[in-house]
Amino acid sequence: MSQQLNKILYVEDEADIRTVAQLALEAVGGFTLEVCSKGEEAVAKAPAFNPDLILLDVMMPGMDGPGTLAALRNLPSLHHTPVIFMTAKVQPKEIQVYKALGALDVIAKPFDPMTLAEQVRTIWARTHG
Amino acid sequence: MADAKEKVLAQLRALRAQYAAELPNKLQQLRSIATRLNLQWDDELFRTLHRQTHSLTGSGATFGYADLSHAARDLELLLKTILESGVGSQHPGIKQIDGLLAKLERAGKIPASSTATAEPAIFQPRTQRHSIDPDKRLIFVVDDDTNIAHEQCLQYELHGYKVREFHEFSGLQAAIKKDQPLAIIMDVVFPEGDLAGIEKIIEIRQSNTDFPPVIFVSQREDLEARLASVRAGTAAYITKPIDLSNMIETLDRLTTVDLGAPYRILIIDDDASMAYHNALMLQRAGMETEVITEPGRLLDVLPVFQPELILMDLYLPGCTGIELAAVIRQHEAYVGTPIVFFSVETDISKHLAAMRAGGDDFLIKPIAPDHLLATVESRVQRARTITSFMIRDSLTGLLNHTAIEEQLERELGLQQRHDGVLSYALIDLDHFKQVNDHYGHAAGDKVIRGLSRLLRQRFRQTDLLGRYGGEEFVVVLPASDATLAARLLEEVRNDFSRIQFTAADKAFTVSFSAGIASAPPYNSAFTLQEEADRALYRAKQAGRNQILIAKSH
Repeated sequence: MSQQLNKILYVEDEADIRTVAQLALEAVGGFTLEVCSKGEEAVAKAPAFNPDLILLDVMMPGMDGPGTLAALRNLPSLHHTPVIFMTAKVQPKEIQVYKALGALDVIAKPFDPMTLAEQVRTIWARTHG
Repeated sequence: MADAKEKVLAQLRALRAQYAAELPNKLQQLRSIATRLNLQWDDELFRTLHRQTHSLTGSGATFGYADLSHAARDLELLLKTILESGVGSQHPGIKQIDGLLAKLERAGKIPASSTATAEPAIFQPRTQRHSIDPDKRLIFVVDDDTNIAHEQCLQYELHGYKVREFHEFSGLQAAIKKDQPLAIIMDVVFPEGDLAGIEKIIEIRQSNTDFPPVIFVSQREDLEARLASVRAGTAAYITKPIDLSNMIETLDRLTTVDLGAPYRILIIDDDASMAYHNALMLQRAGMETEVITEPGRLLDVLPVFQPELILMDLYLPGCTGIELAAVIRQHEAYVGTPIVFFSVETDISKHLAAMRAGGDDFLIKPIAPDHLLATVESRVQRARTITSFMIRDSLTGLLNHTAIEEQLERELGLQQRHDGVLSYALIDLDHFKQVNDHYGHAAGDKVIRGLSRLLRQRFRQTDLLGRYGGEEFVVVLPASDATLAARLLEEVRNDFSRIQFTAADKAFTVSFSAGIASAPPYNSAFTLQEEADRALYRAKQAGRNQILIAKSH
């Protein structure tokens, strides 16, 4: 199975990091991005955007990463959309928890803006390449 | 493409500048929330404090403020603990918030590293093994019995020597002169005579001033042969059949120059230009330095840098060097660390006060560079000798259990401050109990020494090698990811499994298994050890004599 990665739904509450990641994914990576600052916003925008991949910050006020994922999974068109979590606290146990939730992988923060896109592509290739 | 990249970099620079401009505001905000919480507790406000601190942890690291991110992380963890306890203002940790916040504010004043995208050169993961140039470890083996010589040479090569065989004397003299081997292993009995080997060495030596050490090997155990060898200026006399471990240890002793890890010197001086000048001086002599211009940072830097010597100005802002020395001496770990004061002070009573506070030496400014170097070098060297008795395993000379744990913490601290990578490998000899049972404990010790020397030879000076006791060894590899660590260990595993040990005229080989874990993702000493242990267990289960990496997901 080989599927192209093009559209990414990206959810991050921290404005600074959002801007850097946007640069990293759009300008460097060449992806099409839908950026959300909140889980609720992501749930609202996801069906229309129909992303290939969802990139989720774990710790957000209100609806956190896992909560957002649960809400997204409730939407029929997003039942199987692959998800990658992003978090500063990459403890092995946490990674296991996120993977158990169905995440492809976890990307550690801080990420390197010049290689973030590559990192995403590598994870994608491993599972969809 | 290059253009696009440049554009992105320019945008990133602009973002960084913007972030830097807003940082004081953000810190100010945290402070004001903390102050309000002090006056009146409010759960929601506390959550805001936690969230904003968390956001600094992430964004700080993103924009190159490693210290800030680190300090924010410490505070964040405390706040999280309090948050999860559910007891709010009743939590004892509340008292620590102020201190950690102050630390965070100080960290905010440390400028970001110039490029958030590029790590400092020293933390670049290495791509190549750093080992002794194989040409530098050349040895000659002279023996008329071609079979024996060849078998021996294979073993020496496994131990990292480059060997050239000679089956007769012709060409030997010229080769010694031309290629300058580090040592010569010389048979005694040749067709030319019962002491021909020794006589030949005496003959060649007369015309060579700079002659390598010679190890004579012979079946002859009589005094005549031994005396002759002494007269020939022998470095060692080993009887046949050759005990390989003994031979290798002798070779090592004769050919190794132990450079040791660079000395770590902490310089405390509020005069920054002076401090960096001295630091530069010491760096040029191959030492590692860390400079503190503000005494307040001392307690943060000490555990991370673990200096072997502290060079300190007698007059500092906020306190005197003498007071600071007394503070350092309050920490058990630094009771033995040499402290050298410097000052323009010529008053002898001040010197005495400095000594009483635990100073070891006193240098008068301006300090001549060679004087500085000599003082620092001799002090550190002596301190190292003393420490080595305390931290080394007596059988192997590797770090003992306590020492490796301490060093691991230090390396982890460094790795995390610089977002680097570090690998931890746990090695366990396979079926070691059987070696002891079959061949005796002396043979077991030989195997343990054999592995330790191979490890020492194959890893960098900056890698940490330890023995946990028994047949368990540890290698800590800073700036190496798991893949690289596995590759290096794989070479060692392969070579080690082919090394022949002998006991009671029986030859045997021993293998080992290893488990490797890396930080990230395993960022504490505990999880590293746990995961490496788990991988080691899997390696044993899978049939031993192999290396496995911890499953990270």
